Amino acid sequence: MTFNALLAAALRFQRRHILGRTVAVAVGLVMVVATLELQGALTRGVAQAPADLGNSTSVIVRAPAAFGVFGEAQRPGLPVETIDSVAAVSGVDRAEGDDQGTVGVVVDGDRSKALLGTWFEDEGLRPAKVAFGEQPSDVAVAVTIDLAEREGLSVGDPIELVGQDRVKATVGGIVEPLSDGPGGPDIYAPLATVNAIVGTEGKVGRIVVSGGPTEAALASAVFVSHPEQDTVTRTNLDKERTDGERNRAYGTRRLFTLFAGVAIAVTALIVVSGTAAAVVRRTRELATLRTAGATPRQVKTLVLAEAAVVGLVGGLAAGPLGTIMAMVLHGRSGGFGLTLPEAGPRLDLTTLAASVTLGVVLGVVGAYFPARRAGRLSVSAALGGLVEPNRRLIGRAAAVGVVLIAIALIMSGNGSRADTDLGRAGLSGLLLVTGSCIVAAAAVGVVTGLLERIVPGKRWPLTRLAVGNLARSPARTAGTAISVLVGIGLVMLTTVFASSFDANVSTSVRKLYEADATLSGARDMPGVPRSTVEAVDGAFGVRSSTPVRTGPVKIGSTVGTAIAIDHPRSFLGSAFPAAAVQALDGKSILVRSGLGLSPGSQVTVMGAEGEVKTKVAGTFPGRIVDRSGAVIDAVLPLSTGDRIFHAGPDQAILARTFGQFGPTDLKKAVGTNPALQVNTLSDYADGVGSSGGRALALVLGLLFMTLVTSMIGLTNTVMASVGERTPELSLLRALGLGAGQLARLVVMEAAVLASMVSVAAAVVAVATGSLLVSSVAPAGTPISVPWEQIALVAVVATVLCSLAGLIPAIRATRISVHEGLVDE
Amino acid sequence: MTKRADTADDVVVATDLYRSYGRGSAKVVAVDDVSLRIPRGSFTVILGASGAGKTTLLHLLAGLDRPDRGTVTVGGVDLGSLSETARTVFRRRYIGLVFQHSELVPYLTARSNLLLSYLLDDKDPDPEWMDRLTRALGIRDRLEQLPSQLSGGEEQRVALGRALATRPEIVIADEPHGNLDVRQGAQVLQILRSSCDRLGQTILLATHDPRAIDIADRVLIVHDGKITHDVHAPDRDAVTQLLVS
Repeated sequence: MTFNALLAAALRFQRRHILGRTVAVAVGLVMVVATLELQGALTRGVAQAPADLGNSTSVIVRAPAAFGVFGEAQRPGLPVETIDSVAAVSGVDRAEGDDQGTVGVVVDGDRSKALLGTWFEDEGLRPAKVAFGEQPSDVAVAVTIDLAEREGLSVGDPIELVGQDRVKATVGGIVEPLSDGPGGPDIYAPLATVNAIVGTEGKVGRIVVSGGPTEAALASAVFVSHPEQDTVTRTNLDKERTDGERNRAYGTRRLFTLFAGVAIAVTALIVVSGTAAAVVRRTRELATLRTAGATPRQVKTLVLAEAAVVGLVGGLAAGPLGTIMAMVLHGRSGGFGLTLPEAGPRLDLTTLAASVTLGVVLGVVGAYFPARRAGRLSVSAALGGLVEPNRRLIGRAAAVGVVLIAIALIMSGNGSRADTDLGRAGLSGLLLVTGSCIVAAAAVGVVTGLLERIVPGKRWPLTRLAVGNLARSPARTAGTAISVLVGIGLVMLTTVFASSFDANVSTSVRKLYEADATLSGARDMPGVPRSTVEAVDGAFGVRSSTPVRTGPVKIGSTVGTAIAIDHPRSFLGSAFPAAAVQALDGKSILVRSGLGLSPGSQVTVMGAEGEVKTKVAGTFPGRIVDRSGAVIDAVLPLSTGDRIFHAGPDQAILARTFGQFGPTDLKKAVGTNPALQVNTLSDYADGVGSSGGRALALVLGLLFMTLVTSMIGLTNTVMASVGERTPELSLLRALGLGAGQLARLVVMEAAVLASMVSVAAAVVAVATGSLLVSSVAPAGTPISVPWEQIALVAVVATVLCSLAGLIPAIRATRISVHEGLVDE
Repeated sequence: MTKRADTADDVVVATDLYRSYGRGSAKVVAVDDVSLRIPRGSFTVILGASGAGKTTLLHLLAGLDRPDRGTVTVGGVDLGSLSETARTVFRRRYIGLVFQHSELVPYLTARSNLLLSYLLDDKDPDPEWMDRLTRALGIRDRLEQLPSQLSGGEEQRVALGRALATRPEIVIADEPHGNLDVRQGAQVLQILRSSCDRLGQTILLATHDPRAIDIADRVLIVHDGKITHDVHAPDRDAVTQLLVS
């Protein structure tokens, strides 16, 4: 027999305990695999992002880009006359004008958002084919199968499209996209219809050309005849789209990476606490091996081998289960406001190999320190000798946490808020949260010792026993606490962030405008048609009104966001100095003070549709955001905005009214229109975009699953604790402790720990959330703590943790008192 | 591995051993300036009340714990000069240990437990010696059983066999029969005595049991961490008197 045979025998003997740890690790790895699979699907989708065109050899003619925002080119539309001039070029078989725009869709009173695109007459250029019904006409649109399924639409059903114009139509046909890439239109209509709804009459976004003899020759011919335009081949457009998709997917990929990192960290913590608990349970066995001559290295190898098996089996199970979970999430991604490619996650050998490798690596790395401690255990103490009290471990952990917090604070203190480096802010945030969790977990370990002295044993004997067991090893209690604390803390921290972001937007919008009433697009509607302003202006009780538009601009060399507004003296809020507002004369602009422009200076403001030379009338301090969360860099006259922004509905209409008139009166004036909503400025400011809310729901959902993973880890640790204390629990049973009381005792331990962890997590979330918000958010961002949500998370987490103690509690009641005492 | 001295009459030499635990008012001095020599082939019994420091002294002599002060040499090797790993390997090969609870590895058969030191060394034992040992211990037909399938006496005999398997320099036994009934306890003492007589094995036994005095060559009485009496060719009544006094 060799040492390897001993390893094998140990694994066989420990299989029941290993199973519990394996389940915990597998659940953690399922989270990791699922998110990595979704990320992989996103990457694969980006790699195969198809052009939104048919299969004909083609080139695209469009206006040159004015500038780019987050990698997306801002370019004006082309006059429709250009279509004919391109069609006349030698070698061109067909030239089609293409226009697209986001519209609101109303079906049976239900509203949603969709992309409206142009249906080409040339079959070879169409990106979709008719599956049912007819192709689009002036009175009927075609919808994709996806939209038809989502909205329950069939051929012949009525549908209302809302943009700059409201158009009632019928579903003439249902089409099937030729490829499954992201971003294609959901609805198709003839060009004139699209122009009317989007509000781009007389213009097209691009001209799609088919012809020959080759793509390159066609592009060359078009370029020679239209050198002032941007001519691009279909091949290059595909590449451009792929790059664009990659840029658009960047944020989502980072989100998945972040979550995978959290899931990996939680899984590693579960491995650490699970292995540490296993080592404690096996102290005598390991000590026996040491007395018989097993070296520290051999003992370490024994523990690590077991951890590797846990990781291996966990990884094998997590591969397929994680992929299934990713498939489910992929199918529901639309509900979270995410656009993922059709080609979803798939189980292959690479996934399985990655899952197994990750499992083994996490198992071995996570178990390393407990294994090292196992190798170094005091044989003498384990075999009944006197024990040197070791209080250093928890102190060392707390010291490490404090150092991490100090580094984080120094890092965040070095950068001024205005030019916060998000990478550095992210790193300092990570250090801050990690350090705080370590310190809080250490505090939980110490507090149990204090609780033991406070809880009256006569009055609450079971609670006293439960607290006493937790206080027995503060370091172990802290180790168990941290894996749960990370899960609960991150959920709470996210709610603090979201609440502060909402509060920031609301506060900022209240300072941005002055108005007695607002008119804006209802949820999922694109905005307010310009024609509405006439109804508002003419309404009884309305003193004055203005449309509000926002759009990307380039001011000098700075790319940012501007708002365009009429009557600035009536409608600009307290965020703007009165003197600067007074200086505005209908041709000049206000700029953010950080742009390096001073009052009186001349500047060119460029938008997607054009540019104007103008004068800076004044500056406004700080960073204020509009309703979408974008930082406002300039305030323009409405006429300038109309000239340089893309056509389309306005963001809102602001109104000042006489005395007693308010939103209700305005509502009557504009009549019933499900696409519009009338509010006070305060309500308008509070209505932050719902897509952010859905993304937040996804983040919270994923983090909540991490919390569930922590619960399984806790079950495992409590289970190990019950196993370790079998003789003690048997003694209590022998002395008259009932089975029910024993079960309550075990559940009580989990509940006491969870209560303390929840409180600690709330402290960590509020403290780190406040620090992080104040370091990365714009100046003046209020720190909003959603106490009700935090309390709800704490209660749910405590209940879940208590439930996590149920299985070990049931197991404890099944311990044979006789055998337990014989063991002793 | 440190080279061992070739010949020495004393297998164990401990000089000025001192070991305490805790600090301040919680400080406990478990072994207080103890010096002793254990001659080769002798059967030495350490007697003392609970908490007198017997176990700590044995753990220091076996290299399971390190003294705050003083030195321990076993077979001429200074245990304090060895690294943790070297000390472990030395213990594996040259020190046999038996405890009150048999401390068998629960997932190994009696045979594997018996051969644990060889197993950890990846070496094969001398089959003839193993055969002789298992016969002497009366466990030949129980070798394929797991510890959970053995009686307390059988478990302790397997533990004794594990301690004797490598023919160590010394067998250190800490109340090995404290958990057994009178008959099984007597068997264990007899096995230890006969291993000393027949095999020339050096035995150091800590116990409360006065019966051990009858088979000992020498008795050391420990009180408050010190050796208060060193009695050669002991008489049970005289030693008992010393213990009571």
